[in-house]
Formats: sequence, C-alpha cells, structure tokens
Amino acid sequence: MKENNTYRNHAGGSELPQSLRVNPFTLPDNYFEELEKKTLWAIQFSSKEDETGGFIVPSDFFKEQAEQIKKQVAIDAGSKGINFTVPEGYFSNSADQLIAQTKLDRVGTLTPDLPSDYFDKLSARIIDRVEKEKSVSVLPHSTSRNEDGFTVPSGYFDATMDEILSTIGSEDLKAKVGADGFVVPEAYFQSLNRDIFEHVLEEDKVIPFSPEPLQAVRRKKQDKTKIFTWLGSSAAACAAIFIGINFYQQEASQRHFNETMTLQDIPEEEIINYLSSNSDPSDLDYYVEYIYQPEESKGIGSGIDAEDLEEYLNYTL
Amino acid sequence: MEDSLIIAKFATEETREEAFRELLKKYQQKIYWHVRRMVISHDDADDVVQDIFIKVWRNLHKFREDSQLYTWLYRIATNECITFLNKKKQKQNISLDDENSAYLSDSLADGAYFSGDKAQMKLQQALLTLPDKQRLVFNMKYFEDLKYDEISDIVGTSVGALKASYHLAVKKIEKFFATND
Repeated sequence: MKENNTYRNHAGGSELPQSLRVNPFTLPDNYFEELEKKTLWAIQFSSKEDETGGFIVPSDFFKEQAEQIKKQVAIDAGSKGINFTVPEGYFSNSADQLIAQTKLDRVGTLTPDLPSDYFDKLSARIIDRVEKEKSVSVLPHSTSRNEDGFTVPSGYFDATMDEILSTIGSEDLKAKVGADGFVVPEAYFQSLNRDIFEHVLEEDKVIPFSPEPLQAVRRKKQDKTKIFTWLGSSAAACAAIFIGINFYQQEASQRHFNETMTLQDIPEEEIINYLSSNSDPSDLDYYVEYIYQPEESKGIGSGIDAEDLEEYLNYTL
Repeated sequence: MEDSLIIAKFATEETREEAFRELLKKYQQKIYWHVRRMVISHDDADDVVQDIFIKVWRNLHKFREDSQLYTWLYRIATNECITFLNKKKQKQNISLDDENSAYLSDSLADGAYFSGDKAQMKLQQALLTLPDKQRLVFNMKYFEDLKYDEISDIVGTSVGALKASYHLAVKKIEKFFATND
C-alpha cells in the first residue's frame, strides 16, 4: 500500500496541492484530427460488412457438412451400383487419425538415426527404471514427491495455505482501509533537516552549514562553552576529593589487615555480583561448566513443551 | 544519488555533509513513517527520527556494505523504536513482556495529526492489540510492502517465523474487525 504522503508542498490533511492539478500527460501531434478520421473509417467498414455479407457461411454449416458428405457418398454409390458404407464415428475421428498417421510416417523416416543396439538396451533400461521407482516408493517420505520427480520441503503446502489466507486477508483489509490516516505538521520535514544538522554540528564541531548567520552560531557555542567549563572544574574538584578520601581509607584499612583471606570467605552473592558486573559475554562458556545441574536433569530448557515454545516464538519473535 | 556514492562521499571530510544531506533527502520520509506507525505520536516520532539520524551520522563510516544501506538504516530505526517503546512502558510501569500495545492508545485517541476515517482508526486500534514486534512486522509487510527477505535482514528473524507472525497478525485484525463492528 502506498504511503499517504500529504506533507509535500506544504499540504496538510486531505487537500491536494494546486501543483498536482496540472495534467502531466502528452499526446502525438494532430492526434484528435487523426482520431476523427480513423473512427469514421471504422464505422464505414463495419457497416459495409453487414450489407454485403463478406465472408459468411450459412448457420450450422460445419455441423451438417459430415451428414451431407455421407449422403452424397451413398447417392454416388447407389448410382454406380456399389454399396459403400463407412464405419461409425469415421468422420468425427478422421482428423485425429490423419494427424496420428502423419506422426507414424515421420517415425518411420527417423529410424535410420537410432543407435544400432538401441532396442537391445531399451528393455534393460526399462527394467532399471522400474526397479528405481519401486525403491523410491518404499523410502520414508521426508519430502513430497510427485510423478515428475520434483520435491517440495516438508510442510510446504500447509505453510503456503497460511500464506495465501493471510494475503487474501490483507487484500480484503486494504480494500476497506486505503491509508493509515497519519499526517504531519506543515513544513515538518524542512525543519527536521535543520534540527538534525544542529545536533550534528554540536556533536562533531563541523564548520556551520546552517542558514543561520555564523555569528549567531558562534555566540551560542560560546555560551555553551562557558557552562561546560564551569561544570568541568567542579567535576574535577569532586573527583579529587573522592580519590583523596578513598586513598586515606585504603591506607587505614591495610594497616589493620593482618589475616589472610580466601575465596571461600567471600559470600557467594558478592562473587556473583562481581562477575555479573565485570564479565565478558565470552565467559559464558566457562560459567556453564560450573552451573549446578542435578544428574536426573536432561539439560536447560528440556522441561518446556514444544507447542508452548512454538507459540512463544510466534507471538514474541 | 546512488547509495554507494553517498557512502563514498561520506568517507571524505569535504563531501561528508553533502552526502548526509543526500541521505536525508532520500530516506528521511521513509524512516519517519516507519517510526511514526510504531510510536503513533508525531512528537515521539520526531524525537526518535532525530536520534536515528544522529546515530547514522556517527556510525555511517563503520557501515561495511554487507547489506543494503536502507536495510542498515531500517535496522537502526527499528531498534530505536523498540528501545523507545520499552522506555515508555517502563515509565508507565507496564511489563516489557506485555502482549499488546494498548499503552499507546492514549496517543491514538489524542487524534493529533491523524486525519483517518473510521475504518483507518479501527485498523490502528486493531494494530494496538498486537505485541510491538508483531505490529512492526505487520507494518513493514502491509504498509511498506517490504519482502520477507528484506524484513528478515532488518529484524534478524527467519522468513518462516515472519510469515507465521504476519499470518497471526492478519487473523487477529480480522477478528477485531468482526467483533468490533
């Protein structure tokens, strides 16, 4: 479905801009003059056909032709004293028989091109083929197989049916609902460009490219620089105080630290917290080895029903 | 301008801004509508779209051209939408596992920058009964006419799962229309 792009040319809502009212289509030169002549000629031609009859035949001519030929044959035979008859269905089958006969005649002319031992090997080939068909028919059908030997993935036709149904549903929905109904403020995309560039300029300190005067942009930058300088100095001062206090505390605690400490003395929760905040995703492989799993367990996730899992995947991806 | 030319020009500092302007001209509206259909509110869409293109400015030099440029852009846009919607849910104390997008109904009911008729409003209400990711797949397939392969590249989900998700979405919408006549 095409997007309902009504924001172009500052048009809002459902009104078309004036610029779209111009007819964009062109025609060959003198088209309408030629058209008149062609139309009149076509009218004359069709009326003449009706008056003179043209190439017309009597109605049901071809249906009665066969009967007429039979009668004529009977009449001719009768007049010469010969009693000719024709088999039933002869004339209706005659066309097919003629075509079949021409094919047979052609086959007769092709025999010199066949290999000399063609017919000797033909029976062996036919037997091989039959054996292959038999072996295929006893194989488990992981794929659907038709007579031509083409296969399709398993479950294909069920999935295709769902796809067709959803396509039909979508088409019905599109017939009811032509567009999504959303609109944008006038000139929104023009201002969006400007806003994005302003952000980008601040990020990268690129030479201003905006339509604003350069001095206005520099004044804005200078104001912001002053604020950042003040914030930076106060942040540096706080950091220095914090580091100093920490250093003093560490020194004090180390003077009293006489015992040796082992991993077992550290609470499990502390270890888990430390690992979760300082680990790398590649460490997962090592963690898995040390996760406790009871012996009777079949592995992580083995207790989940396949149908529940499928439903979860379908709904939440 | 061709995507390859945009990328080449972006790599050079002198032509970087020109390339970015061309990229905006080419993809701005598509990305906006992709976002708007997800977040519903124009103001929210405006914020998200700006964040997206700032991210594009910062990271386009890292784009390895192992996919189409528009696929890469859509991927960023999709991730930003999902992140935004999750934050919105958290602000409203809604579980991230919640299976519909009803938290956006206020934005829709607000009616700001929405000129659709009754049927279009009903469709949007029906879409809000879907989980965010399912709604995303439906929007890309139904409104944006993307192919399943393209959607798969964008969201990183298999084509089979996408087809199943779309089929379920269509069924839910049909049911919504039938029960809300």
